[in-house]
Amino acid sequence: MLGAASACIFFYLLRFKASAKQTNRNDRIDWYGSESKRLDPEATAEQSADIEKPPVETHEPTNQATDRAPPPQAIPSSSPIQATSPRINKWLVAAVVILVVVVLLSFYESTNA
Amino acid sequence: MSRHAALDTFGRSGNPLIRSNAFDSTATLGDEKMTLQGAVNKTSMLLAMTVLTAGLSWNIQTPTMSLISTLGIGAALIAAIATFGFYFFFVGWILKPRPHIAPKTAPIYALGMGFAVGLISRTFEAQFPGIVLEAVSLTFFVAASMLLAYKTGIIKPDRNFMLMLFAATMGIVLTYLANLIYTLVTGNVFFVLTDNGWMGIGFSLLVVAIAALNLVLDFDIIEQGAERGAPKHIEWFGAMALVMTLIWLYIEILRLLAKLRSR
Repeated sequence: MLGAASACIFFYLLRFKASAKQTNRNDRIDWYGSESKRLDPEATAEQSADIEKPPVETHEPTNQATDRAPPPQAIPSSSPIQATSPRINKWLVAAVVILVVVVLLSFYESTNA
Repeated sequence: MSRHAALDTFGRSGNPLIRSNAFDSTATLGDEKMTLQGAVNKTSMLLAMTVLTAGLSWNIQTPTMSLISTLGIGAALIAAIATFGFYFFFVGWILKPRPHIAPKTAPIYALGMGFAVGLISRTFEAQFPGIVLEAVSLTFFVAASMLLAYKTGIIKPDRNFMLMLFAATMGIVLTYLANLIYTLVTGNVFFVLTDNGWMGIGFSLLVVAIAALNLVLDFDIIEQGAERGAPKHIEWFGAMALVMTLIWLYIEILRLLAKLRSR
């Protein structure tokens, strides 16, 4: 019972995003090397804004404008990543802790019976 | 030269499971991106495969099954080396890690290691009835506890944590290698590995603790991969690393319980 309950808790918790306390740190291990800078949402947002900014016209537009190459578009793959999994919260943690205590107590009772 | 040059070096080229340059590719335009749910599904699938072949090698004891088990374990080792690479001290990477082949090698690893897990479990169960169920329960209990500690931010893995864990893991690997050579030469094993006194139990507890802490790094790989939109194949890579650590943790818990029971 303890094994089954622990396995269920393990797989249930695995699908939640870590807390902001865990993810919003400056000293996180950089598993992705330089790619992380490119994928940093804030940096990417600024970069995208720069790319999407229309070119400043310094003279009157002429018919040459139609021959001009289109302005570069933001790369969709570098847009900020949308969270698809819910973030872990204190109520969930409390529920899991209570469940673990109940399972442990029942396990203790069954072994002593 | 940077004051943290050594840290940078080890942090980027250490444990095949925890190196920083493993994920040198990210999802490009049109590629599917990694998700937490995907990694969970893959981990479940790999564990189910391990349990399946473990059950086979546990229940069927024929010469054919022994041959299949041997081939399976060999295939699992090759799959692990092909995916995580092969690093040798003072030489560097002899075989570089290739995470993109994880979708093919992860099932081979899980199925092959299942045979080993089944054989080891059967041996321990014959000596100490009921020990396998206890070990499985404790493995998931420890894994769930570590996951909760990671998700809530109680344990915050950083470069120093990774470096220390890498050193400790390498220390254990070297101890086991030295024991293997010692056994081949003398026919005996290291006292600390089989001793059921406080020294042997203390060593087993230390190894269990290090295996459990390695889980935190696996969780971080998966979490960060999903957060930063890593390619889909990293789901398999993360799941394979997680299953590998879980199997290691299970075997170490099994050894610890056997020592405690034999007192």
